[in-house]
Amino acid sequence: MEIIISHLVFDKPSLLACSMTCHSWYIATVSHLHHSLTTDDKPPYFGGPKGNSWPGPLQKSYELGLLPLVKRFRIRLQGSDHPTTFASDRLDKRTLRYFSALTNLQELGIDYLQIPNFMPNIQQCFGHLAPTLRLLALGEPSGSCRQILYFISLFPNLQDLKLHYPYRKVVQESVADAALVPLSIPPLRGRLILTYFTREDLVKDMITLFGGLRFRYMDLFRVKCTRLLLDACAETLETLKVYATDPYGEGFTEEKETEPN
Amino acid sequence: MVRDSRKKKKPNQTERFAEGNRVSLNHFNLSRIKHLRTLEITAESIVAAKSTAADFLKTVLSSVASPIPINIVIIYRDRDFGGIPRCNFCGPESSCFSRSPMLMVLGLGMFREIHDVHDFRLVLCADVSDSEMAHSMEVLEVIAKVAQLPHEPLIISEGRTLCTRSIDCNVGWSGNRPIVASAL
Repeated sequence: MEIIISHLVFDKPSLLACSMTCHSWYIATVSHLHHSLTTDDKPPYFGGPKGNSWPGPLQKSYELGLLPLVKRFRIRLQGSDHPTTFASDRLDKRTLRYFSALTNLQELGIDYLQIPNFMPNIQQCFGHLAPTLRLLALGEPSGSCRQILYFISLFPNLQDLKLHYPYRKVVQESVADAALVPLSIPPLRGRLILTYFTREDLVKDMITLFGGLRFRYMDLFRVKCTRLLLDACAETLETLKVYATDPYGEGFTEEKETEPN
Repeated sequence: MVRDSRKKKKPNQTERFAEGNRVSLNHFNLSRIKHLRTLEITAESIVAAKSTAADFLKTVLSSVASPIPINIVIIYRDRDFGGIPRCNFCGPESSCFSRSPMLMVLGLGMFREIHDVHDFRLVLCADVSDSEMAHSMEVLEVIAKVAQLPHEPLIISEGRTLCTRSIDCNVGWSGNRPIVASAL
């Protein structure tokens, strides 16, 4: 029965119907129904779903005791004209309690994570994810290279990394940053997905601090340091995903890479 | 002055592509990749890039050093087959929602000439939701026949794009607008 129900993982109405059939069917479906959780701060007129803003879904799932079932958690924030950020004030005492209940999380995606704002206690907020997290997706995180890599190093079992970084931000390393030593060297042997990526310095520091790159799969679109990445993973890369519309494949000249005012 | 007495070798087709596409090669040079087995490309980007798609792929393939044939996997998503809107960023009238099967056939046409650059096996992959699966496989079988490729492509259905919901977008272009990836 579990095998049959596993074929319905993308069909939520059918899963819901199965879950209401009997207790044994409920047990088989509940992990699929609550596999993914998303908070989305986009207003409904901008395409965001109603009632899904932070921390609504997290709080509701916590109250129902469902957070240990969640394997994938996405924190989507409104971008473009009025970007909001994910700073430490979003994880106050109450919401940190909810967040800490994600004890089996394997995939985490956060938009506009303000890493400097969480320092130096970032481990207290995200450390509980260390044993299980396999995939980290960050949309325009802020922070110096050392700070971002320190954050990545919180997760010693990390295999996949996804970064979206459309504007080059010049972030000066502080003296305190130089003292930041990665807490672990994640294996990072799975997928690297970079889109609109401008921070070559981050890749260089990753190679230095993590002792090279070992990704088997790369998905690259509009990545300035494509050559550097391909060379770094020359021994391990098995699959490369490219886009025929990639401007770097059509003689793209360096332009539009500073953050707009 | 010492003159090079060696006779200048006439460039072969691979070298000619490399010569004409230095900029692409500067970024997508696969000559050092030792174990490359698969090159994935989205159907959406092939259709959007039009005639430049062939040059782009030829250039990338020309840099592959290994003589072993590689798999070129064309990934078709739900929105490539038309039907229900699945994009957060475009309205129902957008071209994002109705890919013409003829455009998909034209997109495949370029693979007739790319075999000269490097040997490969073409794989058409339907990376779609379960409800679209049967329809998308039928469409792919039809367009593979109509495209009249020299080697029959392999048609598979497989979840390759890193997302779980059909409305999740990976990058590419929708009409003349970029599809911006979400965090996850």
